[in-house]
Amino acid sequence: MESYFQILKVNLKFNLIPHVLIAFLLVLAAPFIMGLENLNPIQVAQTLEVYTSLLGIILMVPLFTPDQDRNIRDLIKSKKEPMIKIHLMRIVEALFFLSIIVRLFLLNLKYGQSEFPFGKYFYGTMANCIFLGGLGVIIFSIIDHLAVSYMVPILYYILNYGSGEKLGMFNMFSMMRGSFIEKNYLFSVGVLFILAAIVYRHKK
Amino acid sequence: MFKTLFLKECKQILKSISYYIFVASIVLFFVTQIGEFDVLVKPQVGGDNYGFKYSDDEDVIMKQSLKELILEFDRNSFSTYPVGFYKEVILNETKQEEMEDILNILTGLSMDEINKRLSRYYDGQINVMTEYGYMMVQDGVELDIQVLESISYDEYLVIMDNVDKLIGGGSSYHPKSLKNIARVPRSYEEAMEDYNSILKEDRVSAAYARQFSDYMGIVLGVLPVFLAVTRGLRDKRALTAETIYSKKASSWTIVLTRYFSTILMILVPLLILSISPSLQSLYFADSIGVKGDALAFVKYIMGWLLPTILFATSIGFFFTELTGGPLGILVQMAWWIVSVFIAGGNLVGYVGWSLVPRFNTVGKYSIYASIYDELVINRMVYSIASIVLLVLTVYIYSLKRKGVLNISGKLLPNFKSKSKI
Repeated sequence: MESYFQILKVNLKFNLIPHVLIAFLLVLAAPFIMGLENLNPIQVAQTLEVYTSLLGIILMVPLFTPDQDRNIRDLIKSKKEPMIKIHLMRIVEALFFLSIIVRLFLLNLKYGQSEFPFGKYFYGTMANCIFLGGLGVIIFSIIDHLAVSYMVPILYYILNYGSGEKLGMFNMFSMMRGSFIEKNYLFSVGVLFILAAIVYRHKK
Repeated sequence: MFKTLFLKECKQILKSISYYIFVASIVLFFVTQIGEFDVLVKPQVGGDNYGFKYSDDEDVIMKQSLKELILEFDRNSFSTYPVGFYKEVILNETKQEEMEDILNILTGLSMDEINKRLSRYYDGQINVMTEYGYMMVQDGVELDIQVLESISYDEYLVIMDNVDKLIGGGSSYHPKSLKNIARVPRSYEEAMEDYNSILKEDRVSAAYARQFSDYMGIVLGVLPVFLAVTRGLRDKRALTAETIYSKKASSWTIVLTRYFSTILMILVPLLILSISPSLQSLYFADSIGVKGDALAFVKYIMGWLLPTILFATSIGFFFTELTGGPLGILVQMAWWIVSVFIAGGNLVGYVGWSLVPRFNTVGKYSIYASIYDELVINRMVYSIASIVLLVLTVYIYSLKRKGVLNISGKLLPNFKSKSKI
């Protein structure tokens, strides 16, 4: 148990903390960029899908950066704790911070008298974040290229602007049209991406 | 030395996967967003719609904005764009009372009287079938409420500034936005004037080049940062940073060759993409008896899009050199989001401080002429900022070569280690 705690602590200190800070700063900057008070459910959905979804890329894509160097990866593999477990703990830690930051954003909206179903919108936002983050993570796992692993989810995000409808069940901006079914697909595929990325990284 | 390194850098970029993703993205964006060539249509005499224009007439501005304010107040729903995002503001009771006082000062009417006249206005609306479905349309009855004659235009602007503050800012009643409410129909002569200016001033092709710059600016506001970060991290990935530090090439030569090769490799596919719409616009100009400007697209790419490319690339180079990580991507992403959304609904002629100026139409030369100075200042500011960031990048790089900065990007570690000794 103590070793698990140590893994989480080291990951937070040397990898995750700047990303958590940037995500937190983006949430703090939100009221200066957009209105967060007295919004109706459609406007809340727009804010969450367009803005908050990007937090997934910020917090999840750096999953493999501490051991991007092949030599460090080989060293970790030689240790007692299996690498797959370390990666799983890192992603759980990233998701933990992501859920806290998204929750804070939603609480801020509630505090500003905006009306929306909290649970449903929390799930919808997390689904978007997990999909975009998962997409970046699997790209990183396969091609080992940090810039490209940020680039692909951002391009997918841009694609939703012009051609969102054509993406069908993978349209990230569905909640603002009142549709939630897409979130189940985004969530499931996002989780699959993450698991596949970790397994592939382990076998690589 | 410069030329050899420059060519090497270009070859390196051609081997990079992020470059091919970049090229594929801009091609995809061009095909899906610009797609078909919109042919300009000459206005015909006797048409029923020649579009709209914004009136400069102070009486029209006061009349239209007062009407809009009363209608929004009646619904207690005010549309605002604090920094680009749409925000509906609903006033609480205290603020509603303050707004009632303002309306009383502006019109000299009590709220009861205003409400009576509003009812007559609403009664004059009829439900008709339009191409967008059933809509409430005014059947000749205008809202019979005017600004008091004793209130001058300057006084009106001061009161409207207070209205904007009461709503919370970013509303249509801010003195600078007030003109946008005063939309009036254009006449045939005005529509012809715009058409003729496209033929004479734009020589047709420039009107299309502006639309091209508008669309491509959206993706070029963010994509170049990935190429810049890729280049910045390449030495670290390949474990060659120290070896390159020890070479005789100056820091200026190393950073500038990397920077300008990245810029060139971004411009090449962009110029190739512009060939097709450029030829189409020249052919179309020829068909209506105008000699098009063959270099219009090149001029707009260099004047409109290049500052956007320079800035996104400079952000990538600067932050990657400073931190040794992908922070530049996050910074540029944030800048890009704000720039894209700051325009709100104004997609034709929005400049401000946005990295991505908007002009999502073919023609409207009069609007272009009115924003030209603002656009030039905007583009110059971004170009100068890009040069400043580039100079700082060279400075940081040279500090690292001297060992003042740690290779992993942590600032001033040498001082730290000295204190430990």
